[in-house]
Amino acid sequence: MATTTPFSGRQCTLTIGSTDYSNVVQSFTLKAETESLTYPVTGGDGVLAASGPTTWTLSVTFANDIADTSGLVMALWTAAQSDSTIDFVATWNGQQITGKAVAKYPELSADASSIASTSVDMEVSGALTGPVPATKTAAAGK
Amino acid sequence: MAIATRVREELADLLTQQGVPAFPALPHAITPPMVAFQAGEPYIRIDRIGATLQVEVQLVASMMVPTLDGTGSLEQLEELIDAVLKALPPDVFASEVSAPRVDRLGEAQGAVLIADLDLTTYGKEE
Repeated sequence: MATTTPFSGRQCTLTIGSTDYSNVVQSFTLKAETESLTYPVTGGDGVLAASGPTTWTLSVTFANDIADTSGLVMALWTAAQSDSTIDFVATWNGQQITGKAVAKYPELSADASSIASTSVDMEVSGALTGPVPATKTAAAGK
Repeated sequence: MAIATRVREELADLLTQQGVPAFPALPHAITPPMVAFQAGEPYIRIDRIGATLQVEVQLVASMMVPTLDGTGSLEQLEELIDAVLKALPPDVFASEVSAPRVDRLGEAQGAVLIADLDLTTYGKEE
């Protein structure tokens, strides 16, 4: 019988570049969208279907740390300005997935009735590696 | 020291340094005008990923002034509210102030006019 150890976000980390940004990240998601290829036929089968390409997106919601020159807002901003990709290592309960994502500018908002936070959705470029047991030691937390 | 305890104590120290008498919890003897921090609802919420414990702390700052005549007490309370809001550091978010109410503290201490300010801030494991 399969067994599992339940875990929460406290057993997860997100490293971008060489910095562990867990201290500012409230949540992150690595989500796949797989296109379905279909072709209607006149025979009894009706529709032929197959899996198409898969697009991965890394979504991150985090506290706005714009005042920190080495913070996540500035890291993404600088990378987006130069049309760069960012390397990321995401871990879930000791298992890690690594990849590159196309950097995007984080949304900057101000709201009198809430603490400033932001989010960004970045498409993954190239193949992901993992899940494999985590080997990367997180850099000093911000 | 627990994260929330440290948050309350640091906030009380900070306000006191800025001339607003503040206590990390409700003291036995109330000497208005003063501010006392109490737990909000929800009190503590886990807010970040990763192994280091980081939490969002909800506090209620109970702001109290002596009951004088109606107008004088309200004006004094309004001044205290402004003073507290100005003294709060930028990482402490103030949302709303309740309608003032009169609270009787017993024969020895009389009554005070109180308004509660809802605050949200962050604390981190050291």
